[in-house]
Amino acid sequence: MRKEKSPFLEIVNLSKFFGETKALKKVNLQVKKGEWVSVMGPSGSGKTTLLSLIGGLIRPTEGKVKIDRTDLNSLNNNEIAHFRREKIGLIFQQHHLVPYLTATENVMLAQFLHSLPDQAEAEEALKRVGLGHRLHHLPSQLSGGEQQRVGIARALINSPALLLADEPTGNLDRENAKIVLEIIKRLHLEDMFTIILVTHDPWVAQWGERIIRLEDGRIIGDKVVKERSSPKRRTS
Amino acid sequence: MLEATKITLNVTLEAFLLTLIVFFYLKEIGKKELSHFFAIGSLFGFIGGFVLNFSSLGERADIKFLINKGHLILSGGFILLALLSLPGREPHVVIGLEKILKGKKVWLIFLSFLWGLMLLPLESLHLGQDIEAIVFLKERNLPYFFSFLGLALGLALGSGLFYFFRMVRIGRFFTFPSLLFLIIAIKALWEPMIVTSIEVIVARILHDFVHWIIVFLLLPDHVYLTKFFWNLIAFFFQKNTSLIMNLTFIFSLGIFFLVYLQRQPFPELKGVNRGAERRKIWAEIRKTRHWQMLSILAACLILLLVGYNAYEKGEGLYQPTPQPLSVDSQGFSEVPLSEVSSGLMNVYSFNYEDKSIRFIIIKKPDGSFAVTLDCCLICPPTNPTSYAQMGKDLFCLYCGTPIPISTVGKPGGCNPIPIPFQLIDDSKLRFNARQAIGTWERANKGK
Repeated sequence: MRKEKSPFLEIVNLSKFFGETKALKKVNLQVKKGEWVSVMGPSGSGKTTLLSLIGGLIRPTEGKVKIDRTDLNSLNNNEIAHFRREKIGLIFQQHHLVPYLTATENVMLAQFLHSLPDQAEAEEALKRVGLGHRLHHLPSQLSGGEQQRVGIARALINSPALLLADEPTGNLDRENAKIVLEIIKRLHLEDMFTIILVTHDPWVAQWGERIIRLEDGRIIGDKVVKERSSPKRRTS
Repeated sequence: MLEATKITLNVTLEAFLLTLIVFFYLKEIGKKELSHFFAIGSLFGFIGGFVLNFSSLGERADIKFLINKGHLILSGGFILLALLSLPGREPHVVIGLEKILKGKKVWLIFLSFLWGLMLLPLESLHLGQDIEAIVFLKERNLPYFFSFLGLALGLALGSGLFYFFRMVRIGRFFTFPSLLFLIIAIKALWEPMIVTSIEVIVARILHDFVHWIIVFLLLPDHVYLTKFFWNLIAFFFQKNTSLIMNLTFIFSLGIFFLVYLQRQPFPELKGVNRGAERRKIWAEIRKTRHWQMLSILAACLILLLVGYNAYEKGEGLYQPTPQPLSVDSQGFSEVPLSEVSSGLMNVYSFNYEDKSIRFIIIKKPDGSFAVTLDCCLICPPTNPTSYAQMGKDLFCLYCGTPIPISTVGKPGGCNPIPIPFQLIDDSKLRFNARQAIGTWERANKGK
C-alpha cells in the first residue's frame, strides 16, 4: 500500500485565547507543499492570529502546528527563532524596513541574520522584484509599492519553504497591488514555496489556488479555486 | 619528593597534549592512517624514552648525544610529517606516506616504530630531566615511586583529555599552520627556554653562512667583516633584543596566519543552486575559521606570557659578572673548589700590566672541572663576558653557537680555549694565569 505523503503544514485543533477573547477556536487545516492558500475574513476573524501561530510568533492555547513534520510546540523559543529563520519568510502590511539602511542593505540584513551577507545576491533579489534601479535608495526615497517589493525580496532572500504574508497589499492602490501580487506569483512559480496569504480583499484572495474563509475564529469555508501551478524555470 | 611527582606529571601531560591535538587534527581532516601512525609512533617514543631512562640500556646508549639532537630531530620529524600530509589536506587526496600506509598494517607498525625512534630523543630528554631533577631520590636510595605516581596521574588526566578532545572535536579548530603554531606555543609554555633558544638556531645559521662565504671566496678571516660590523650583528643577538626579535618574528607568523585564514576565498560549491544554502555552508566555514583563529590567538597569548616571563626574569640566560682573580708572584692562581662547584659558570678577570683577560671555571655534569679562557679561536670576545650559560649549554654571545657543558675543556672550534690546571688536595684548582695571556692575545689577534 502506498503511504500518503504528509502535508507540508498541518494544523490540529488550534486555539488561541487572549484572556476572555477567543481569537481562534479549534482550527484544523492541512496545506500541501508549494500550495498558495489565501485566508480571507473580516477584521477580528482571527486571520492574523492564525498567521502568527503558524509563524511561531505566539504560542497556541491548545492544539498544534506542524511545519514540514516539525511540531512547533516541541521547540523552545530559541529553536523556534532558528526554525523561522531557516524555513519561513514574512511579509507584513507595514513593510518594517530599517529606515537608515538602503534597499540592498535591508535585504543583506536578512542574509546576515540567516548566515552571512552577500551583496551581489541581495542586488540580484532586488532585480527580480523589479528594483534594479533602486538598489541604493533609502526606504523614504521609495514608493509604498517599492517598499513592499523590498519586503518581498527580504522575505525570500533566504529561500524559505513557507511565505507568510499578512495583508501585503493592504496599503497599496490596485495598480501597485497588482504589481506586488504578480511578483509574488512569478517567484512562487519559479521557487515553489508554500504561501499563506491573509487578506480581507476578495480580489487579492483570488490570486491564490485555494481560499480559506475565517469567521469568528473558525474556518467556515475551504475552496480550491485554481489548478495547482507547475513550476517554471527562473529567468534572469 | 612530591616535586618528582609534579615534574613527571608535567612532562606526561605535555606529551599527551601535543600528541592528542595532532592526532585529532589528522582524524578531523580524514587522515585515519596518518593519525594511527602518529599515535602509535608517539607511544613507541614515550615507552622507549622511559625504558632508556629507567634501565641500564640508557647508560649504554649515547643518551647525551640523543638529547642534544632531540629538538632538531623532532623539528625535522614535524617538517617531514608536514611535507607528507600537507599536500593531501583534502580527505580524498591520498598521497605520500598515507598512500604507503593505506591498508598495510605491517607498514603502519614499522613506520610508526621509526617515527617513535625519531621521538625517542625528546622523550629521553624529558624523562632524563625528571631523573636529574629527582637526583636526590637516587642519592637517598629512595624508590622511583613518586615519579611513577606523577606518570600515573598524567596518564589518568591525559585519558580525560582524550575524551574531552573527542567530545568537542578539537581537530576542527585547527589548520595545519595554526596547529604547528600552537605546538610551538605549548612547547614554549613547558620549556620557556625554547623562546630564547630560537635565537641560537638563527645565530648558528648566520654564523655558518658567513663562514661558508669566507671559505668559498677564500677571504682571509675577518678582514672585511670588521669588529664594528660584528658588533652590529651582535647587537641583534643580545639577550633582550633577540628575545623581542624572536617574539616579533613568531607574532608576525601568527598575524600572517590570521590574515591568510581571513582572506581565503570561500569554495565555489558546485551543485548548490540556492543562494541561502550556499551562504549557510559559507557561514559554517567562516565559523570554523573563527575557531581556527582562536587557536592562533591562544598560541600568541601563550607566547606573549612566556616571552614576558623570559624578558622579566631573564629566564634561561646566566651571565655572571667577572670576579677579580688573585694571582701570586709567579702568575699562578688558586681557586677553592667550593667556590666553583655549583654547576654554574664562574668568570674571573685578571689584569696584568695593561692587559686584561678572563677565565671560565665550571663544574661539568660528570663532576669534573674545566678551566678555559672566556673566548674561542673564532669570535672576538664580548663584554662583560663572551659566553653565557643556558641550561646545560654555554653559548657564544657573539655568534650564538651552543656548547654542551660536557664538552667544555676540549679544544677547537667554538669551544672556549682550555687552560691546563691541577687539582690540589681535591680542594682547589691551580693554573698559570699569566702564561695564558699569550694564548688570549694570539686568539684575539686580528679580531
